[in-house]
Amino acid sequence: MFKSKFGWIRLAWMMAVVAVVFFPRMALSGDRIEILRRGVVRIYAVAQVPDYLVPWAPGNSQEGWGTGFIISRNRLLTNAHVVSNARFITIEKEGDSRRYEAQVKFIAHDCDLAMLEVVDESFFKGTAALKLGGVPALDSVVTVLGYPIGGDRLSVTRGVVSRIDYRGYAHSGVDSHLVVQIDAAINPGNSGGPVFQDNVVVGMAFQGFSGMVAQNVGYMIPTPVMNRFLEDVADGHYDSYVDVGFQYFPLINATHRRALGLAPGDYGVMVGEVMRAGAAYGYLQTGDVLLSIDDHVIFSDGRVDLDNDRLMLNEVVERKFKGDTVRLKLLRQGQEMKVTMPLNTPWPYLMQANQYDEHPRFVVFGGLLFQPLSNEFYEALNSKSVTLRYYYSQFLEEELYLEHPEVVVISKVFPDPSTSYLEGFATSIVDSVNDVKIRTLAQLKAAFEAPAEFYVIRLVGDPQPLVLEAKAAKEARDRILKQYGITQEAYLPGGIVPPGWAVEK
Amino acid sequence: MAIKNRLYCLFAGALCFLLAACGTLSGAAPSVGALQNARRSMLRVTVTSQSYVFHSPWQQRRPATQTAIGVIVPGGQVLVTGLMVANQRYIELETLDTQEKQPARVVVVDYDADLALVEPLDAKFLAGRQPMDLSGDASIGDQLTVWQVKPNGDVIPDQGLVTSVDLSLFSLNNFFLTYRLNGSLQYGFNNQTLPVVYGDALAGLVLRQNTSGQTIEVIATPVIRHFLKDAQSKKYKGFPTAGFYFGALSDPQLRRYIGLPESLTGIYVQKVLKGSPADKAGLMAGDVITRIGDHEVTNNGQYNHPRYGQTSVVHLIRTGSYVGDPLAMRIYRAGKTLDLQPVLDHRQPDEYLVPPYILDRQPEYLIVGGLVFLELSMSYLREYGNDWVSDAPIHLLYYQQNQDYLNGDHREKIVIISDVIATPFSIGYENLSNLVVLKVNDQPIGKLDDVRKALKTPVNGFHKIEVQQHPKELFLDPKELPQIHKVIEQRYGIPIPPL
Repeated sequence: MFKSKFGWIRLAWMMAVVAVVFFPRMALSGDRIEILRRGVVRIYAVAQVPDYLVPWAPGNSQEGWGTGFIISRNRLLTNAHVVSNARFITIEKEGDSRRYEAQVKFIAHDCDLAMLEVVDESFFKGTAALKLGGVPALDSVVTVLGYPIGGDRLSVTRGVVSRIDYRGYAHSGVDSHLVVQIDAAINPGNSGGPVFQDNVVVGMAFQGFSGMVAQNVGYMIPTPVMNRFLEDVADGHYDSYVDVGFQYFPLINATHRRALGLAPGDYGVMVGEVMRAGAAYGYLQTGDVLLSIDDHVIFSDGRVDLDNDRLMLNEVVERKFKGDTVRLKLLRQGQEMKVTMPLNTPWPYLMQANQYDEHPRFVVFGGLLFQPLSNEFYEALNSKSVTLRYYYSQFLEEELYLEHPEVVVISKVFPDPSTSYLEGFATSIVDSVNDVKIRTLAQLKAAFEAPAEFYVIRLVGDPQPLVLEAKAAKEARDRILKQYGITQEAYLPGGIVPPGWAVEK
Repeated sequence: MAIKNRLYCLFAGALCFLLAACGTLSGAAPSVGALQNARRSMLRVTVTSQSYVFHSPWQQRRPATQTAIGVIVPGGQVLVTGLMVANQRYIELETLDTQEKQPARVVVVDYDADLALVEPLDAKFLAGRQPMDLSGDASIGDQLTVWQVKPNGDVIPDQGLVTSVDLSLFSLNNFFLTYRLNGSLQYGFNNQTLPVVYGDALAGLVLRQNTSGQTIEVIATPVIRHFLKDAQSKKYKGFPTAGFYFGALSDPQLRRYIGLPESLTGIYVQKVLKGSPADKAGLMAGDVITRIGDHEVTNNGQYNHPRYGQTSVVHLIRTGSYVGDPLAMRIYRAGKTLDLQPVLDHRQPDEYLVPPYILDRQPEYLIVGGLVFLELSMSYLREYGNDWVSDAPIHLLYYQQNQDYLNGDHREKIVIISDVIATPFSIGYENLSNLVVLKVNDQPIGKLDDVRKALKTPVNGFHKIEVQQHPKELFLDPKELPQIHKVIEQRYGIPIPPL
């Protein structure tokens, strides 16, 4: 279980007021920039963001811009967050006043990358494709090109590589991958822009801290992450990252090491929680000691030697794809064992991940709006009960997804004569309807479609049932839909729960 | 007996009687002579208390001193609010007219109803004082007088009109009758307790005042009467409970589903606590209580009180009855009417999975190799600050809030590892906190003492501690414990409770 929720301030890269200031004189050699700039484009996107509390409505429009770069004929790379929820994308290149419409070819929200193509290929006339290089060394100089706030034309900033680490990606909110920290100024609008060293791209500027938190801390997505994305989409589909699906605990404590039968030394981590929905389930057990991963010795803090650096052991799995396996050497009750396990993408994480390009899912019945718990929905709520907070934040830790893979919440009680006494049930979690356990939103819809005189809804932690009389609900239906402008009674496609999880395991 | 959610419906009734009763203003302003007498009926009570930091239970807080104006009641005792004397170390009484002082002790304290009786160590101290009788019950529209006392002992009467008689939240799940007065107390003089009188007799004590809303909440006479009567018995028993949760039955759809006849009203029983009086009497979740005692119960949990009108049945059960009283209930269950008679009992704080408070004693803890074990309590959660409901760890809050619904694990308490005291032996463990302990040495942990017992039998030479959260397992070496404990005692000065 390598992904983690992290709490630092996310920069709104794309939303900015353009201040009128003079463009600073370029300090770089003109020739080099003249070539590289032909691979850099400016991307404008009109996005539509759904309001999760009005899930049937189309959503609010937002406009923003970012940067992108050409990697080959009709393939551009940028950040996923530049083109998320986009309805209309145009791109612009230096020295050409036209705007060209572009489309998202692939988008990977878990690593904040997207590939675009341009509708009119004449756009590429006079452009140059940029080459991807390796991971730059610490303290080496890098140059950032892009369209940050502060002017309309291309901007160049320069800095050094400050740190190479494994960090959270703010776009999804739950994923961590390799990042390179640089001290070149990165500002809103730089997103998706190339970072150069020796005339090749070594990274893509993507996130940073607000100036109120830290100075000169900008992050770029390094090329291993970009190359992985390109390799993943080579088959025409993005499969997303894979994960081992367990948490590990560093074995720093001397007594803990002895209790597990380990000699003193800097090796081995203990397997903590093994996720039921993860790849390791059935392969690893709590208390196992991991010694190596794909022949990389694991140090007691969970790091491995990789690419002449000491990186989190996750990095080994990071470079793999759906269906790949990983080889682990472990100690179980003093016995050395070898395990080869196939990797997957553990779905319960997605409940807490930011969702993009998704239509909110919901069911309206009996004057009640039902929605599955998700990051967007949770953030949209004004007040959150302790129970709801518990189900959201402990969904993985206490394995609440085993009973409720989709946590179905009564998000709104539409005031109506038929719902006069139901307001107190708002933000409750549905446990069952007519004694049928509700594990998914689709099951809820089916339960309401089954003929009955009463629909008795039992709620988590609240033993008083919510009773809907079928007759009353039917009578109120058209009235409520009209009154609140509800254009659609349900939207079910999508969702994060794999088909096998709809029934109890 | 507790009200969980959808509470609002339980207290709506009393307000509609406001207008009807306003015409009957009574209770004249006190005369100068009455104020002179008042000085002889009251004492300044100064309490110095000292509590513990629940996150580090060996650590005492700074002693804090508060003052109250106590009322001398018949029997030579002084009535103050209960939280005044919580964790008290020293109590001193002072006469208002002659400024004589005398140490005192607590006779009875009830933290549920927030009332306490103290008495001087030397009974002669109260000679010549004038005890105050309890007044009759006040009604909406009555004029009550709050007695504020200046530092020099002068009494300042402040009048307020009873605008509602209603149940208010005292502490966790404790709802009792209060008078709400309009007005504010400009001169509190930092006294935590202030007497409220009706004519010449005691009507209540100020519970709290809401300065922005200009209202004063007063612990009502029936609650004080209940307390004083109980206090006269040999052993104080406390306010009774029946041991069930209920909700409103106002929704016609729910009523039709239950099949409740139109002629009946009542409350829906949500949950019956195991082993509670209601459970022993056979009450079941899903039952509808239609009558309690001689009163019909409305769909939102009220009955018609002869004086206050629509009042929550919680008052009928908790203040209208005493521990040991049978409570006649009429039940509607699956088309049949049943009569049940639970014998009411008091639910002690210790009987909660997560105790609502731990007062007047040092919180228990164990230190095992630097791991701090303690039992989860509300006092622990409240230390997360004013906004503890947001800031305390969500899993602990959830357990607290749903403690009566967490079934099947037979735990008496939730034992947690609250913290790890950093020593050379705890390297690698030092960042762990708020882990729920499931087993120690393969033995299930249902209370702190179980940890002590389990430590007597290490597994394969180590103490194995299983927790609900990541990392799931921790280990200690029994042979190292004396050494670790010595380090903790020497470096931190933290006493290690015997294992």
